[in-house]
Amino acid sequence: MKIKLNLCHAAFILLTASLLIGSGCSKKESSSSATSTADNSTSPFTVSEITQTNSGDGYFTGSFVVPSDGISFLLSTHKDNNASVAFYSLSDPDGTDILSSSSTPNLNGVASGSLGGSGYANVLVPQSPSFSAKAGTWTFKAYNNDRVKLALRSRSTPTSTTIVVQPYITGTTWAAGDLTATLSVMSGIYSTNGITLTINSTITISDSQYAAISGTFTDSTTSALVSQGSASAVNLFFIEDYSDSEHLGNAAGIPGSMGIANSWNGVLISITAHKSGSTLDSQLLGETAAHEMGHQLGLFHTTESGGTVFDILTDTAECLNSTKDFDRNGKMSAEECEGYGGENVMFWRPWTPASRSAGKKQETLSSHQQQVLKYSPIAK
Amino acid sequence: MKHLLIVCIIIWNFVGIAVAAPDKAQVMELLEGRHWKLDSEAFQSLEVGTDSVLIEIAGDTALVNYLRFRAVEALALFPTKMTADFLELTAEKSFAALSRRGFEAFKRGFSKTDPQRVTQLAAHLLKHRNAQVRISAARAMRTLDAPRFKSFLKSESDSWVRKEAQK
Repeated sequence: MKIKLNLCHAAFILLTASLLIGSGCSKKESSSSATSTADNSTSPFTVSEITQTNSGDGYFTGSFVVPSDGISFLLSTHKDNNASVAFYSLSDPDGTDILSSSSTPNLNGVASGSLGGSGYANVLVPQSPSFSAKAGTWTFKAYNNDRVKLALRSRSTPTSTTIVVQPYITGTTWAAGDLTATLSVMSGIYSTNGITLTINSTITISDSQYAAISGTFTDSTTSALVSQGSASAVNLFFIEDYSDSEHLGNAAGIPGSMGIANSWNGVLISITAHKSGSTLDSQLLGETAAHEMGHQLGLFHTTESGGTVFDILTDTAECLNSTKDFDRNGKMSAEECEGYGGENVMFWRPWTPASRSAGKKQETLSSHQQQVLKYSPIAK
Repeated sequence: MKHLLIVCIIIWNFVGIAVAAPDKAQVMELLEGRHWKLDSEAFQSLEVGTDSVLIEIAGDTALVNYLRFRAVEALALFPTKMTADFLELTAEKSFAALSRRGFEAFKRGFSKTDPQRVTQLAAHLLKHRNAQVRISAARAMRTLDAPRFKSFLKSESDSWVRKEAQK
């Protein structure tokens, strides 16, 4: 049996979050409301803090209105001391709680806002074509938090989608020019899939403490770096190296933060990990950047390593352990999954070095994956 | 007859080794993924000789670094003399990113069984020109030799390095 809503996605989110939902007691009565507008030259994108009311049962409640031309939103809950935060419920204007396992469809066990996160958790609507940012009043019930914010995109969906990307490079080993080919690969991948990337000039952050950093977004140094990210772009931090992990890259969440300068507003990508001898593998690095950006905007792995857990989209190829694990090692390789998602940007692993040498690439996104990106609050 | 028996034993031994050592591709499979965490159980379920294969991967300069880095980390699961020698050499002689990982794996694999050797290597690496290597060595020293850790904090000129070392 295929599991679409899954535990491994939860595990990925929980790399930066630990679930501790019982922190409902609180003192806060309400918080002030403030609205800021990010770059709205094409599509209005507003970020506002939502006033919450202590419901007396350990929860905080709040509501917000999605206008008739609303496209998407990201609702996030924050706790400055990085304690656990989560939403108990999020109900659409029809009264359907999309975080409840008894609703159809739902994001229970999928959204970090449902699972809980350390200091930050969110709910993206739509995270698949099964959801929509319905016009009307949405209500939520949240566990103890310092604030709840709404990043809302409205106005009609543009026929051509643009996403602004802000690259950063840390350390002194590599220069911004070394990323030219990589960014071209990433831009090409998105362009082929109907999304134009506007890539800003790479910003160099040469402070030595940011050259190699932790892959944990709540780490103080990582947080200080990622918080420098732009509030109106998807921030890609090409770090020289990780100091404590062996990822090729990792995103701050699925999705991460959008429109708010905080610890979760970007992805990390290790440059050194993509080097062979003295050569930087720009194709692989570009694919990793495209992959992490996909996570940051709400895409899961199409197939997880074991071939039993898949993303929440219905049109992405699934590579089943039961039929495709030819070497019976319990790990689905891109080679075993060729034609079954191995070519997808969001497949859990890259092609082997031998296949990459033979020209194999991971550059495709399904129609539903493209739709999630096109409807992203940060897109225009 | 005696010679035939010896030849048979030698052949049997070679066959045994050939069957026991895991295939390189099999080990590489466990090092793959855009996001990776060491799966101790999976590595330890492989046949005898996994350490040799990991050393081969870690030392392959033509291979993309992420596979080499992960192979080094996995070596901590196989605390043999061959592993100790390899990791010690990696920590001392490799480029900074690999050096730090060599030390980290050495520390994880041998802190309990040979703390003196780990302490010696850490002391040596406290003077490394790369800050991340110094930080790793200092963090190890904090538990292995507290006075020397305090001495490092006094002598280290970069304040952010001192701060990271105490995390």
